[in-house]
Amino acid sequence: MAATSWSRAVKPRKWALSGSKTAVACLFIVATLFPLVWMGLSGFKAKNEVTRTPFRFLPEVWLWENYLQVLQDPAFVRAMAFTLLASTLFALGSLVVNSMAAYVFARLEFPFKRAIWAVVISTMFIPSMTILLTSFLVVNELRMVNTIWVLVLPGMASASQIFFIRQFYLGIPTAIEEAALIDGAGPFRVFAHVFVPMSKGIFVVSGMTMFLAMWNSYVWPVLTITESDLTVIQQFLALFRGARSTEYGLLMAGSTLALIPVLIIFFAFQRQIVQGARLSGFK
Amino acid sequence: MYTRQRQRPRARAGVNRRQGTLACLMLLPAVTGLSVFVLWPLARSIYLSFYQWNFYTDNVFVGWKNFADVLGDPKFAASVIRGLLFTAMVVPLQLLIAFAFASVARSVGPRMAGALKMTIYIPTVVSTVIASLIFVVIYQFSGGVANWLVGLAGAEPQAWLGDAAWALRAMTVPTIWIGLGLTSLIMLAGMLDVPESYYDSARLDGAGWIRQQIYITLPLMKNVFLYLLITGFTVTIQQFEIPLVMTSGGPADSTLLPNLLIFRHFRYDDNVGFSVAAAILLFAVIGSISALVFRLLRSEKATDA
Amino acid sequence: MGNHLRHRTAIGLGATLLLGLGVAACGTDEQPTGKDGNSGGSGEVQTITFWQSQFYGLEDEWYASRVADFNATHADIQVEYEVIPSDAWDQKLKAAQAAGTAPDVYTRAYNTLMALARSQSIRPLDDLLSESAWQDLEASVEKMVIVDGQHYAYPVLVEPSMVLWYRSDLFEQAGLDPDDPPTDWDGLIEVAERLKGAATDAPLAMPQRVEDLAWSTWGLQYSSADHLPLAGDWSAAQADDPAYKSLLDMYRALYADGLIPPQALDEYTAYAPYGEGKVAMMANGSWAAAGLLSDYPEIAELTRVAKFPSASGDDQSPTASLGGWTLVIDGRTESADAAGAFVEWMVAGEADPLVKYFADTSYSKFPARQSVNLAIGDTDEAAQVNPWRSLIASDVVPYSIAEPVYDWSVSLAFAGAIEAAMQGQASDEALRRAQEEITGIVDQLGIAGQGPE
Repeated sequence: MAATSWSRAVKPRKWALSGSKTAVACLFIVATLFPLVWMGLSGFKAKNEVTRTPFRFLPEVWLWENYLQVLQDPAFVRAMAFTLLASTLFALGSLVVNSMAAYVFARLEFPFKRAIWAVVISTMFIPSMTILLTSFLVVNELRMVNTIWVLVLPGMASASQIFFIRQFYLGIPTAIEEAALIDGAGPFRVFAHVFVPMSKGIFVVSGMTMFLAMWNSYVWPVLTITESDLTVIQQFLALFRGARSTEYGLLMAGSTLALIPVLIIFFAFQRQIVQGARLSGFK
Repeated sequence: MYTRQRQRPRARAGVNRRQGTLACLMLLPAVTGLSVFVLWPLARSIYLSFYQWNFYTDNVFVGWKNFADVLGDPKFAASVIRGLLFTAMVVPLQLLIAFAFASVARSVGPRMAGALKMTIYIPTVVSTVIASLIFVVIYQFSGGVANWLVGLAGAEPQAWLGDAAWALRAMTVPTIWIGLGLTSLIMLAGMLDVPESYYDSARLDGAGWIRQQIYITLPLMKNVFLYLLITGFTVTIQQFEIPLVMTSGGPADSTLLPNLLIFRHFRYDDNVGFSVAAAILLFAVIGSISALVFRLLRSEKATDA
Repeated sequence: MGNHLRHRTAIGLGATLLLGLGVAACGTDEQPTGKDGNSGGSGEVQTITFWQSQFYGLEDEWYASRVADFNATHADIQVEYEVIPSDAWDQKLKAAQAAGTAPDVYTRAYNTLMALARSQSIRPLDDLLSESAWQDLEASVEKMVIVDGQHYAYPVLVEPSMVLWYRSDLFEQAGLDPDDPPTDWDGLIEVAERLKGAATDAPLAMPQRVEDLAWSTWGLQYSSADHLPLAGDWSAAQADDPAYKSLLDMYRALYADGLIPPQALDEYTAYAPYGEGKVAMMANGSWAAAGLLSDYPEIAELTRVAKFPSASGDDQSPTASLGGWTLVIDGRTESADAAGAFVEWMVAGEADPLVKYFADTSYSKFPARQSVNLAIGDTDEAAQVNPWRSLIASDVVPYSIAEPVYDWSVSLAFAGAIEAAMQGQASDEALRRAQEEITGIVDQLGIAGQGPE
């Protein structure tokens, strides 16, 4: 309860100070949410009202057509379901793969550890553009094109996530696992029974990062998915941006609807994110 | 681990070997993934960069020609410098805002802190392409929110995306907006980890807020900053979707970031040699700068396994 | 409690993975088999793939229903059809070509045909399509699909890239005569000055973004200097021709005086800003007719069209290029005969379906085939539906240039010079830089002397 003890400590000047802080906090919230609220409202606007001069925040007439049209499109529902599945698999898989690697690098000793760590970390700096074409050649040779695996597998092992989780594991005092080790537990059991239960918060943050990376990806699915049954949500939304006219109303409505499942997941894990923040051993 | 080794020195070799096997097993999925989907494609890209290849006729070995072409193209060097400039505008500002956010979230009541934490993460949910489109409309010359706000302040409207002097700066806003959520949460995580008692005693010594941040928060959060700096740098210098959607690199190349230049060559060139060579050179730039940052902020934990 | 949680997580994870496997398995089953199509066995169904770049509304529907008809009437050939969003097209095709999984048939613009043909990415069609199909082509269009003596594509349409659309009501309000549109660039600037304040954003919409400028100003480039910035045989850059200064100066003047918007309102091809009343005039292709008629009928009533002004005012000086779409066949297809049959049936056979295509697009485009032209010319419908068509057909199309077939980077380089001029750079300096850049491109690509002329 860091926040409360702090505010108790500053009883003098309390009103002015806490008032200005609340104001700053509100400013943060408004500035951050403004573009999104505006996007949601634009979904209610007529085709070209979004870009009309002069600027109006609220729709002239509230139209439900855009939202209804997107919702009634079976392709939208299918794209949402498929993207949800792919993103979930991607996030869960990456947690398993990357947390194990992070633990190994944080706690275990083995030959060539430093060299392997250096190679793993160096992959963090490879621009996606460097391997865009050749990654496509690889997944094509592995016959993964036009399957869910082409989305799920390639980015699953991620140096930045390994680095992120490892930083957290390094901050966990060794005393915590010593008891388990003295009891004769092997390193894997220590990982599974001591580290994993402590990782809830960091897993939620890392998992959400990976989930969103997949949910928002566009360049890679465009290359690898042609089958309309396996279209991801960003590909679906791209169809509203034709060469000769952008269907702003539909695009904004579709984008707003595409946020909803992610926000639901986000709110479900919200407590973990907040608590996880506190558990972090990022020292 | 080493406690155990100290206690039972004779078992050491056996434990190490067992640990080695286990370590290999647990590393296997990550190492396989990175090898198959990152290192192997990288090796092939490096191989391809020495060839002229248009997919339908045979590869022609051209030695260093592709690299010479890239280095001889003033647009490439300019785009890398522009990328670094863009990073220099975005990352420090992003860290600063995230720091301010975390400080505020830390000091307001738990309810407000909860609301803040939730809001800050929400923009992360929007894809880069959609965010770019939103900001294109926000930056419209007449009828855009940006100029409406500028007008309220009594200033002249600006051609945010049409003026070479403004376009890159205008793009920092969506870039920061998208990346702010994760940066802030990680920053807050690090901040909440600093024991409250440190601040209490600092306050007793009469240290003000700024001194508390400089002497307590910053040193204790070095690793957080290092992580955010490195990831922020690598992500920002690779940004290309925002300029692609908002300006397609213009006006007059003022938003032609390195990855956008490479992407343009990839899309339009008859041969892929140039784009692959340019991408490898960009890797060299990002890699060496990151290595430099690691070294400068020398963190035992970050560099030593 | 920890144990419970782990079990639940494990079960959840397992279930999700199984579900994923299921979906993936479905995906694998449905993988396109175009490349493995057995062309030998008789009676076997051959599958070919067809990718269409996303066009606009009814155009896309026309393609979709044509493909469906083809599949319904052909038992031996089945077409797998995909519409690719236009901003995904280039990279997707490129990656597929690299992996050897390019579609058998795809849509393609004229200006890239030569490069594709020379790299053997597309194959000649002379042996695949019937003689009559080639004879039916308008001579001027046929030239655009011939590379080194062979036909490499079957053209569907041509459309001039730039005409001047303007509001007669706003002309009258400003005391201008709608029957007397500007014919040269000074006149254009003058008219635009008079129209200041007539529309919310600017008097005139022009292409402004580099990727739009690159192709839409080919005609204007030709108009100012009587040649393009790269010599016909690609041996030398000629962007430093002082004659180009008139084009750069016009752009600088339009931009500096606020006669065009301070930043592009939309893509060049978009007609919405004009339809929404943000500008009083717009440079846009003939295709804009279809969108204006369907989305902004009231504005369309008030809209007039003219050949886009030329540098000199000469009404025969080209200010537009003829662009459009063709169908091509992949150079490595294993189903060339089936692909050829499909192309012939789609666009080179009966005239009626194509007449419908041009009707669907409000006769805003022009057929590549004589028979289709005749069929449309026989009806008064075209002129009734599209009031601007006959003027564009008589005043613009005959004086338009074919799209240049040189590398896209050359066009981008010259577009950069126009952009630089708008940003205030001196025309001499901007042209000198473009000259340098194009010379560098010719050296780098080693294309000197390989041009068509």
